[in-house]
Amino acid sequence: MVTGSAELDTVLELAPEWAQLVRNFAQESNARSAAEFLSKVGAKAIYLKALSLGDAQSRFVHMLQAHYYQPMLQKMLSANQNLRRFLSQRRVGADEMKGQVVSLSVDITQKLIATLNKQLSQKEEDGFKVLLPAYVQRSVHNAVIDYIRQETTWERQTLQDMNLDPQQEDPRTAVADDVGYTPEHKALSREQVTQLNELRRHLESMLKEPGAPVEALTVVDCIFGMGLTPHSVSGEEMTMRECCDKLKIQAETMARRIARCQVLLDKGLDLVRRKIYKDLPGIAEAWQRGLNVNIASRRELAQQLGLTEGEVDRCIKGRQFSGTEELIERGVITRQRLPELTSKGMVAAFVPVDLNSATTRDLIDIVGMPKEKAIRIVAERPFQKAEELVERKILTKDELANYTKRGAVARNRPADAKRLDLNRASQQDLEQCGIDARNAEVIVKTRPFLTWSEVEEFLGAEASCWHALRQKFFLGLSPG
Amino acid sequence: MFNEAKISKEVVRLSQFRTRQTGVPLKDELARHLVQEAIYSADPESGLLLDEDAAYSSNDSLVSAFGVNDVMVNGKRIDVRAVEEDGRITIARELIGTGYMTAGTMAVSLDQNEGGKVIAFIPAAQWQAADREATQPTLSLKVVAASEFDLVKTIEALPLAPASTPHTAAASTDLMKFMADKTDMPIDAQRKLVNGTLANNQSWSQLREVVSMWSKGKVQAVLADGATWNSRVEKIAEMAAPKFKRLAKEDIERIVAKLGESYGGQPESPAFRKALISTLTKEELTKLVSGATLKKASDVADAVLSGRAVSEAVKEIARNPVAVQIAGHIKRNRDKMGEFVDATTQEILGAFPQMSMQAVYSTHKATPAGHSLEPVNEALKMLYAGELAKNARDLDDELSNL
Repeated sequence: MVTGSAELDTVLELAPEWAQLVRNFAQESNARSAAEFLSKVGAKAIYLKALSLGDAQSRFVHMLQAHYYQPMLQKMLSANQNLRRFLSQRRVGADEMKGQVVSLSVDITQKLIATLNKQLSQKEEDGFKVLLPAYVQRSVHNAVIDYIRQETTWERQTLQDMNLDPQQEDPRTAVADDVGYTPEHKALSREQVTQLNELRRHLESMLKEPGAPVEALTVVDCIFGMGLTPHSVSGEEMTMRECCDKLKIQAETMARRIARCQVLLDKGLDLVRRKIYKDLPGIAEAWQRGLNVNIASRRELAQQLGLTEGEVDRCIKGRQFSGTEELIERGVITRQRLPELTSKGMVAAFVPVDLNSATTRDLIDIVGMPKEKAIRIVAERPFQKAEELVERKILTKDELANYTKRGAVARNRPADAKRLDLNRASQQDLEQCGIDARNAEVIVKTRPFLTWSEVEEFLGAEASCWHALRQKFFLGLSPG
Repeated sequence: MFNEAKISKEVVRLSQFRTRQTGVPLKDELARHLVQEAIYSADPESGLLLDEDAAYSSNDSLVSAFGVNDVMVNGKRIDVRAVEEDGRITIARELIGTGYMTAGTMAVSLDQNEGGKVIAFIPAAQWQAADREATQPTLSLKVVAASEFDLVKTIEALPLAPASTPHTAAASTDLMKFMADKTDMPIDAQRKLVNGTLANNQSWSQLREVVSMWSKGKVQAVLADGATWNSRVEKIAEMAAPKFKRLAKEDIERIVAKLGESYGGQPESPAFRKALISTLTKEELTKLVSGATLKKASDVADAVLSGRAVSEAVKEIARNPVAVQIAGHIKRNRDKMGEFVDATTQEILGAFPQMSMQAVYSTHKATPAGHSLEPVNEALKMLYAGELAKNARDLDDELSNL
């Protein structure tokens, strides 16, 4: 071995005139990696060398594939924040993430090599650009976005199928939890309710304190729809524009009014945070991300919480539980196990399972129905009320009582039926409801939205379509 | 022009998700992505290379705690901010004069969050000058768009980020204080804490724990849940109020809120519904009767709530069939669920002709006609209790469909 590095020897074999460069490099940096050496040599020199080679060109390109592109791509992909965030949202583990990086780097390398070969065959003067790190960086970015696009499309198509085969792995466990795909959306545990009641009392008394920053707190009240002051209605969040109108926040332009409202909102949020820090420390604990035993999969119960096989069986069979204490009362776990399981994030919050929209899997796993019943219900819905299942001889009275106890409800929302789901409506539907083409396009492109404030962030507070949007649409919590 | 770019839908979605967690403005997150996109689309020969690992903005905790929003290009750390609709950009004062803000800020004008362009660069010195005059916790500067802004040349002219100098890592208690309530913390102490934390990546895991408890995103999530819960309490109270006329709506709300502390926040839960109806019925009964009769009326209500017929439950608990029969006739002669009032002698006497059998009926408290009012009134109250419970049962269905 000439250099003490098999990689560098391979380079030298193909480019013996670089011998001095290689020796200097090896001595200076004590480095043995061909990738570092090639980076130092630079794209232009590498390209010219490749052009000068005859039969050995393909070996040289092959060497570049292994010792130039692959290491550079793996480094760039590992550092790529979009990819990391996308995979971590889907709870992909570190090993699996590394595997994905390798797989993507192989794909991109092949594409880059194909482009390089094309440049070499045509002897393009600026063909060296394919070897520039900035070019590789752009290729990585584009490949990651393509990968995310394909994965997201697959998720949406899969999740829109409400009849997931219960025997298969639930795909929801591997998709982002950024939208309320699952029935636990807005499920509040008793610990959280206790804290929320306390918070309400504190906020009410803050609003009555002499000299209190009422304006800032009122903005918080309106934006979140807390229902603490006469200006807001509980559960009905306001956009910035609506809040400005409601509270008569004055400024020369709408932009300034919004800016003033934002300042007040930030001030109000800081006040609330300070109050929580000083007087409601229990909130921090109650809002730690937990695993709800009423909806968790068998695997999550065993792996995340460390429940034994027997505990998992009893838990799934006994669903649902109103609180963690109930798991002890009903013999699912022993009292000694509770502190350990709580520290691992175990919570028990009842979740209603709507017979008119739940997946087959939810009906089986949460409500405890046999597969055949669940499939039949999904096929024969909607139901105006739960009793209709008995009238239509799908369930017996006793079965219905049992499933109701376990969380089955039949939601029937005529108010929503008159409005369209903004997260699902087609661009045509939007335009027919009076939304101009430009805004309709933005909505379709950027949804799903969780709140109206998010819609406002995209359309701008001055969009002329606000009235139509608020009157004719609701924000459905489903994949858009 | 390399200072213009589009942001892909996928990046927008990732940004939305991230800002929900970190609680920082979506516009700033998108502005940073726009700068990155502009760098990706620059001529590769310009040699602009992003080092995403070295950017503080890749760390959610640092973003959430300090509002850092930087890109690291060729060893240069550049802060990025979106220009607001009023033409200004805003930054937290504690970042000025720290190792984070050595170069300056790229100002980005967004177009409906789909794309936009970098319009100006604010050097760190300009922020420092503004900071000397500042009194508020944030600094805001009016941005004047450069006529021909050249992103590549601007970046090339920037100084390299200084090598990280050793700083004492911030104490956990100071971080918590900073996150939750920094109003009493002098600005210099805040900057020391920012520098100390940024320079010591060993302290980032500690910061993550603090942020998970006290971030803006967490407060917003709690408030959103608070709105949901307040709305549920109000809706339930509105549904229940017509059935429990003696209870004020505020009393019902108080009862609902308290029950949530035992059964969780979902009124669809059968345990929640059962406890709610039982509690409201008993509260209503305490306004109607007292003493031993209250106990009996509660028993009747319980029996009816568990599915028994009103007449059966009353007969079993009252143990005076004649009084029950009289009370039944009186009740039928009155409005169905009118306000309860004691029976009058006239009503009792009026009931007899309707009974199938004339009862031999006398007690120690005889009416002028020789009949007692007390057992009849007691039975009447029990009938009202039963009717109340029967009506309350309807609430069960309504709640399951909330």
